[in-house]
Amino acid sequence: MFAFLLKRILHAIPVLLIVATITFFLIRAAPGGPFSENKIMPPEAIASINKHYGLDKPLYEQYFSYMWGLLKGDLGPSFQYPNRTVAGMIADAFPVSFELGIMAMVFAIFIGIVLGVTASTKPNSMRDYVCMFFAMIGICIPPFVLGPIIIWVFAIKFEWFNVSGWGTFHDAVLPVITLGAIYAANVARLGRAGMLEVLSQDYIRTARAKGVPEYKVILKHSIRGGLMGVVSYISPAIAGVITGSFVVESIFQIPGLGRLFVLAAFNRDYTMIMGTVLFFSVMILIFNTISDVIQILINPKRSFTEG
Amino acid sequence: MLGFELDMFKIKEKLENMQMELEEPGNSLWKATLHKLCMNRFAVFGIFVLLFLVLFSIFGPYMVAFNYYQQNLSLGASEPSLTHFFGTDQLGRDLLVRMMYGGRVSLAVGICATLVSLTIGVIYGALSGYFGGRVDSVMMRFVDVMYALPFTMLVIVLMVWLGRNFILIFVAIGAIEWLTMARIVRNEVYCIKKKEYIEAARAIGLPGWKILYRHIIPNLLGIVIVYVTLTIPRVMMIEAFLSFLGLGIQPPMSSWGLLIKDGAQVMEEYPWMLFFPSLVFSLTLFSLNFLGDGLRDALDPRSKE
Repeated sequence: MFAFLLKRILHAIPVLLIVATITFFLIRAAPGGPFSENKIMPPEAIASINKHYGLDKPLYEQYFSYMWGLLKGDLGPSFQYPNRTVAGMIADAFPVSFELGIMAMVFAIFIGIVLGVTASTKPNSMRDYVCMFFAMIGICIPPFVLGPIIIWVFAIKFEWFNVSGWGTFHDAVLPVITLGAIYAANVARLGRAGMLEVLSQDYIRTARAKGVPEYKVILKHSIRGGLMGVVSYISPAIAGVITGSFVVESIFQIPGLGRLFVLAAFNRDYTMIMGTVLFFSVMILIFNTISDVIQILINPKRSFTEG
Repeated sequence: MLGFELDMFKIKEKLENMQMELEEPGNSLWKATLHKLCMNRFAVFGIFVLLFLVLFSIFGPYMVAFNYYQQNLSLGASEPSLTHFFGTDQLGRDLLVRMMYGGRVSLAVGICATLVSLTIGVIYGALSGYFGGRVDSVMMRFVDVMYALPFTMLVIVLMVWLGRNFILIFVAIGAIEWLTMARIVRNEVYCIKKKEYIEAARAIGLPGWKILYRHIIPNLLGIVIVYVTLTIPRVMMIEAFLSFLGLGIQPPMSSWGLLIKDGAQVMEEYPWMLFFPSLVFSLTLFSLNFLGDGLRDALDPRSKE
């Protein structure tokens, strides 16, 4: 297992280098710089700021000095917020995104499994269609449609929740639903498919034949095998849910990483864009590795020695 | 002698009967697929909705007296009425026409970006699967590495770079969406390559590119069609998502994502500005997903009804 992890870490290094290089040159190729949009400052001041941050040097020199900083673990200062470092701002924003993502995932797993298992107990019945209809809604209504609509219904019409904000559990309900819906839908579909497969097995027929009550057949005999697919879906989905919350954070004005990144992209905050992109890449790599480890541990057909 | 001729006659008759049976509907792959697809109510519903939306977007603007940038400030935001079926926005622009133009943009982005990703994905996957061995493992390793990149962020960075260029949006999205296509095609080619008819083609001395072009790629058609119908909604979602964040299509041009964004900002006062675009957009995604699922079931030889 340690050899496996070591191999993963060694594989991650070139990936991160590629990400850093692509992002660096893409963002530098964009028109406008972090200070060029600011019309209030006289050109001399802009020039001196650019000089201060080394933005007047040739591009390749900036690239190497940034990469050198990166090797030392230094993500640089933020251009938009002069007295903050990128690392510091990410450290502030990450817990928010993490919390939101974990809650959304718990919501998604719970709702998804309930819908999927319920649907599978009576395939092609009304119950099945209703459950799968909800799953289809989750897949076809993207967060930027679902978000505004549930705000309109639950925050504006019924006034049960605040329109936006972050802090209490109450504030988290609508964003968690918005973010979790699509994952709940996928969990439901995977759960239904897995359960249907298990329920058609011979040992389930045997269990039924010897008179085990139906709820026990479902909860005791089939659920563990039926939800294998869900388990292997969950950990890559966690990476997606934590890193993919741009829209939800923008809609609900949540001070998380996604919003930080979108604002940075608008403001051409070079170091902040680089920092968040790299941070997200690291998160994706970590969760992918965790997901592989979990799958190897629960699936006897796979082992740590494979590629 | 006569008996033998009678036998021949019988055999001929039998052969003809067999031929008749073969020509019955449901025996050619495409006929069977079409038949199964038509039995799927959701898929048929999807086809009709999509047809309607395409016609609505392409020909609709010619039938309405307004255009997408024409303002009527004295009118301002008005509720749906007989002159403006879907109402107007704060600048008095007709929402119906803006949705038609938005539909043109969304559908065009969906189709063009999918074509770009299709071209790259099929060529890449076919080459990788066809050559196999070392080339294959290097090419697929590259795809694995690309998978680990945070795509949404790269798209956003690309948008910042390419700015407001409408056509480049297609290319950018397509250039990023080809990975899964390449993987699917590669696995399929890998299986097809081992079939006897490919061996036969090689035995008669067909050059490699011709085998690829004439015998392998046509056999990928089914799986590629299914995947295309599932890629279009994804791409449309990305476009709408970018426009929603304010990074995609810029006003006064319209796209469904942009209209949803505008509507979300004023939903308290003018809820219709949020509802109509959201409804149409979700309906499109529904239809495409139903159609994709239907096609997948129809093309799957294991699902016999």
